[in-house]
Amino acid sequence: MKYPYRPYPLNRVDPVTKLDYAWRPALKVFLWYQHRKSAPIESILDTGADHCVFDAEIGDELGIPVTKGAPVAFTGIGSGETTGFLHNVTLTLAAQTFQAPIVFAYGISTTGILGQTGFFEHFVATFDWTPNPPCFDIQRIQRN
Amino acid sequence: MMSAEERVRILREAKPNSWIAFSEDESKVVAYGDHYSEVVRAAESAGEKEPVIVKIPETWASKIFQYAP
Repeated sequence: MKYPYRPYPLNRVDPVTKLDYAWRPALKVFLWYQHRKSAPIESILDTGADHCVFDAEIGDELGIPVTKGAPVAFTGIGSGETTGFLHNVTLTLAAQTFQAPIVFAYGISTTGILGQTGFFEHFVATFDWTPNPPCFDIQRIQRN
Repeated sequence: MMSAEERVRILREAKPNSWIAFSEDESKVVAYGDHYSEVVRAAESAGEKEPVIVKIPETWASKIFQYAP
């Protein structure tokens, strides 16, 4: 199944695209923890992210003891280090449900990130900028 | 689903560091809140069973490595 990219505002016009918004690949993700389910969380596919990262407020609401998880320090380009906390939760996305290690961090600038460990290790992803807006496709990797 | 222009306008005008809930079909906004729990409850109170939740960042800067704080 193909999913359209979603538009996000930019605080200034991009000098290359000449647009004041950016197209980003996003999926609705449900997080489950001990039979409690989140609302659908709009989450960005980020091939440069080592882990899946979600705002810790979501973990709090699910009853996850966020700060008791193993600490994971991470950073983006040109910014300071942030510490998140690792927990194994169940994800449902694109009609697939699976267990994944998720880093929950307070005060991050996004709702959720789907990164290499926990997401791309389970899916073949194809990003297609042929149509406008762009779209992407993910296929679950079948392992024995 | 609303137009890209409408969605961008709504996200841009939302309060920084807050949360927003769209209807399941993403045709309209159903709730705003300062916290995830608040926006989910407000959306449910508005009759939306599966609101799509988006966090509004401090700034809408271009992203390189999304999780940069």
